[in-house]
Amino acid sequence: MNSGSVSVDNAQVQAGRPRSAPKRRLLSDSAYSVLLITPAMILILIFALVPLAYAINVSFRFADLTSPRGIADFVGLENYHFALKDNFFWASVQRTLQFAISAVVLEMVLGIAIAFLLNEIKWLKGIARSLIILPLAASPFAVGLIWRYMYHPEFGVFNYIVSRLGMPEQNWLGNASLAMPSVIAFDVWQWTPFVALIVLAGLQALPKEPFEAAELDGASRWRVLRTLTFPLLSPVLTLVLVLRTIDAVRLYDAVVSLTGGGPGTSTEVVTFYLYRLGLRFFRLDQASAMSLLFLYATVVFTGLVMRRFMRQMAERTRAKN
Amino acid sequence: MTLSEAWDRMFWSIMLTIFVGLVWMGFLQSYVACEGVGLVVAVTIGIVFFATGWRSASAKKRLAAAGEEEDV
Repeated sequence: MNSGSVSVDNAQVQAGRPRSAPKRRLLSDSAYSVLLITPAMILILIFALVPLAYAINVSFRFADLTSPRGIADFVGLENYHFALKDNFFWASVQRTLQFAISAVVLEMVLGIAIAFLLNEIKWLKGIARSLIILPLAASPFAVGLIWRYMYHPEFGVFNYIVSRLGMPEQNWLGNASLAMPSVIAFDVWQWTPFVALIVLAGLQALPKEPFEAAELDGASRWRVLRTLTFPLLSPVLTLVLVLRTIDAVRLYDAVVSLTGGGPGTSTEVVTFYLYRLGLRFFRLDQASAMSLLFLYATVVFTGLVMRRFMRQMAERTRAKN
Repeated sequence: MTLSEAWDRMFWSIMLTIFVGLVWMGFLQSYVACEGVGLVVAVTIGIVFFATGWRSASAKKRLAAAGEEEDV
């Protein structure tokens, strides 16, 4: 805003015209900023903070909706004790981490590779970009149902491919050791384009000068990647990593549409377990305590990564100035 | 300490307090069977963390002010 007004003033001075008196503004910059973020803040307050406060309140009470007492007395930290000792909860946390780490690593690797490919190709760029967005545009639940048919042991396309390759057919979603990799494959298919698109946008926004200088110096392609491209892309990569990790640990719709948590509990991730505990067994107190513990872990992880990210950005801005 | 620095430090103090409380509940309560002690320990560690940050930020600010005075 300031640079714009300075350039207008310079233009007026150069044109030999007298400077006009600065207009009085109705609102200061800070008041204007507050006014702009107020609607979002009100929405966050209603849809995030009020339910959060309610969940905190319920987590310190006895709240079994199948009992005539309903949401009743204050029980202190009892629900948290239960959560810390509940083996089913910790097993679901373990499965969630297993899912999140595998899915996010695969999505990052494939997404970065696709972004580099899309950045390099000279023909059909627009079509390739449009096609790659398709999985993102579809509803995860609807696509999950289609994938469920693709995984079908008798009529599914995956078993058709496997049999054509001369390998034994599999019960993809009914076998406890294959169910989780099948869910991971579905998530990777759906979310790799997201990583690819954001990394592609980052690649296209990179400054050209350092790369031209590296080319003049005769730097190898690998060295340019290692010392220029990836360091310059690191803010974008960190952001995508954080967004994908948060989304992966919240996995719910893929599990519901593909496996329903089964076979047994082999794909029962935290969100699905909390849904069963809170909305099927009506133990809102224990489910609230566990969901708050899970929220705490997510907030700390995100906070630590974002803190590092913000520090890097600040250092980079200082170095530029 | 600016308002955003104070908020940041307070946020991490609360996170640390919760972490210590959870560790106490999960591992130490079987040895020291009292929730009150765990609560006091967790809150004390949180306050100490906040106070340390506050003091170091104030010291930095004083140093920066002294440096500016020397430059003048």
